[in-house]
Amino acid sequence: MHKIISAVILVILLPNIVQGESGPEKFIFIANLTPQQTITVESVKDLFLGKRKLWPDGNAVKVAIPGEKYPFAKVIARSIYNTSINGMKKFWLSLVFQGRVKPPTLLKSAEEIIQYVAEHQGAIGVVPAKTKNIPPELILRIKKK
Amino acid sequence: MYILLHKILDLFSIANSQSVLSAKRLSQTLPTQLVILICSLLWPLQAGAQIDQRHIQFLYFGHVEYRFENKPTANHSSFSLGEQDVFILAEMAPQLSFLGETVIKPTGHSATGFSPSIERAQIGYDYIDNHSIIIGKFHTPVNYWNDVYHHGRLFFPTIGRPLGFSSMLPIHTLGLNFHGQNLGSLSFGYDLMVGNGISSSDTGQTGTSMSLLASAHCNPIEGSRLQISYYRDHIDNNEHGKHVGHTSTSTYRKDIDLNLFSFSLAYFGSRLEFLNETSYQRTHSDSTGLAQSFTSFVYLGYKHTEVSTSYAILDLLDISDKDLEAKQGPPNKIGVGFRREFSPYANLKAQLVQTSDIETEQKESRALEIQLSYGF
Repeated sequence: MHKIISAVILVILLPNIVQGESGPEKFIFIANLTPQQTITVESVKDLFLGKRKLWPDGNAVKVAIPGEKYPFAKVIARSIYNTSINGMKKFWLSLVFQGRVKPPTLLKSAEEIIQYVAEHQGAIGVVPAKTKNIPPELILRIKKK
Repeated sequence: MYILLHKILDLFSIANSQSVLSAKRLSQTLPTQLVILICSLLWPLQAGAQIDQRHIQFLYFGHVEYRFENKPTANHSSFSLGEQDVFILAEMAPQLSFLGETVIKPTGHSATGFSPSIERAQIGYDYIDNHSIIIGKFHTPVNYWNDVYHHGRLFFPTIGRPLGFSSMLPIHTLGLNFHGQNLGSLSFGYDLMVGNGISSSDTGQTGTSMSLLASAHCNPIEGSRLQISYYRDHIDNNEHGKHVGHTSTSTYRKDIDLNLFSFSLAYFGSRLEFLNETSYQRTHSDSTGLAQSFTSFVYLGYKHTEVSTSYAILDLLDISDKDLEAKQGPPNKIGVGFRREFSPYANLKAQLVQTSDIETEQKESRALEIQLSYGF
């Protein structure tokens, strides 16, 4: 089978997925790229960890993550950052202070994250898999190892 | 004044709508003169923030300390207000950014006890992938501590910097830096820097000699960093400008050649934390010839919970009597401490330290230090 999964609506099951109150919560990565990229889970994680500054086309990576007031933040903090919401915020504060990365944008809902990504070239975000009305062109394709 | 403080907080809220400090609390924390100084620094920036809010971010860092010191001759007890750090980040173009850091810090020669200092004013251009060119004044990437923490006491694992910072390490450079980070599977990174040397100030230097630095680091495992660096400088007339945290105690006023080798090993895991900063310095002067100095700092921490950490430190400093560039300091310092984080924006550290006297190792001082550091 081809290494690239053609189905673009891909739910990412990271190794340490969080067990929420109603069971594991799945999520979808979205990005504003032209053309849309196909990348590995590890590369996506690197983007959310501030390890990549630019996309291959030269656009700056702009990270949008759920803020404290959005309960989904807990899932992302545990799954991607392996810490709490506070730990995730301190992680970014430290990187910004070091001058290594552009600060992420913290948003209050899936709708805000989708809107932000749609409006900013090079933006990447993450929303719950159950989110409705995600523009198909924003959904990031994930490459199998 | 109260209205003025609200306006400052409005500025902070552009960057972070969840600012944790109210105007009332801020006015209680900072002395009036200091607040006025901060206002004057921030005021011209408000216009820029209104032009395009999304591309400018303001942050503020600071700390307050209490120290009780037991010396052989007398005891001392005091509160002190530490450095207050105004931090600005601006995106000027998708690949072009500015970072500014102005610190208002305690100085003995100022009427108010504080004076402002430009600690960082750097323009970065990300030219490809994770490679960038930085020009301006920046933290000399000589070791892990200076590269990652520097003024950010909120991020310090302990209350103070290692002893080497006040005796022999260059901490700032005004110049040009070719920087790379997170390259390959080991997250390799590098810095190749050229700039005004130790004898220079922020407005220039005499002579043509420049300081050079080559530094490389990698992350062998998640949460770790291994770094080595080499720094060299030709110090004109053994003068020390604004780019080091020390002044020479020697009256020698001729040129000195300096070579500094540094090694850092850091690991900050979910439970265990470890940091070693080691530097070896070789200087050469016409007066005393070759001199070799050494410093090593070890931090070991254990996280009981995500917000509570116990730690121990061992700090060694050996400045050669023949070293006319470095500043003599306490030969060793040991201590234990505890760190409690209230939120990402504030933490409290308490530590007991014993420091040997510079003159004789028999005279030791013991101190209880408590520090509240904040940033938002």
